[in-house]
Amino acid sequence: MDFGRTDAVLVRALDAAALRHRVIAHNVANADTPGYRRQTVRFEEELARYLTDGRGPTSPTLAQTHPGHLAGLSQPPLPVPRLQEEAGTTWRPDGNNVDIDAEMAQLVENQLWYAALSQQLSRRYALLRTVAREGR
Amino acid sequence: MSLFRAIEISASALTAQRLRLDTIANNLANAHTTRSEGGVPFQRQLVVLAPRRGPVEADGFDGAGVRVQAIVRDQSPPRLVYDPAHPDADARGYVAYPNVQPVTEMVNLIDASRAYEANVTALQAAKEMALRALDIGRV
Repeated sequence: MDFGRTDAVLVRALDAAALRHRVIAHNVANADTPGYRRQTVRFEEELARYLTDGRGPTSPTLAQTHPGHLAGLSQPPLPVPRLQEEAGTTWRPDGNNVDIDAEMAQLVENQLWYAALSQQLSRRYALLRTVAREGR
Repeated sequence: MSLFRAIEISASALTAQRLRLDTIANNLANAHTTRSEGGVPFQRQLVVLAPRRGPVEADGFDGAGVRVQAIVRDQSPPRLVYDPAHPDADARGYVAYPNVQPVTEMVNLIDASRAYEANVTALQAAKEMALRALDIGRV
């Protein structure tokens, strides 16, 4: 059971969900601000790429106390959420392109995703606890 | 923790929309004030909103909500009504009433209320997510 990679990816996804919430909150706060362009967070593509390409052999990073020591196989970097500003979709004369209904829907979706991720992380820790208690 | 910043973002919007509401309420209250400072009729006021920037967080996002950049006076001409008996009537018998349109103000009032509600929802969502995070790993 690898409790290195999966947990790290879950935590990264939680960070991405928290960032996404802040970005959505900022969009909603500026729904009436003239000239404001909505921002989004791209994470799903990075995650998909990591899950397909990142499936290399996993080994811990080994300390090198002598030049002849091997460092172990390198881990692919974890997925990083990216901010993106959306331009060109405005329909208001003041240049603001925030669609409040779309933002509120994404708010709920993101909230559910966060709940699912935190539940998954909790379950993994519960599993470890069961192992530590030897099934008792 | 980044979800505290999310709460600050929504709170900034609540403050801004509340100020907008106060401005609208003041406009409505003074819709018939023919004599304000300097003897001129009351001038409609509106708020100018701008995005608020905060310190850049570890994930690169620096958005901190919204702020009221200024409260400006609407420079449209006053509404002239023929009423020679009015104490503020001019030489031709016209009274200059404020440039406040009640229907416009009511529409803006509804818009500000809905914006306030939307930001309250966003704030509740941040609170719920933060509480859920505290439950990770709880026995």
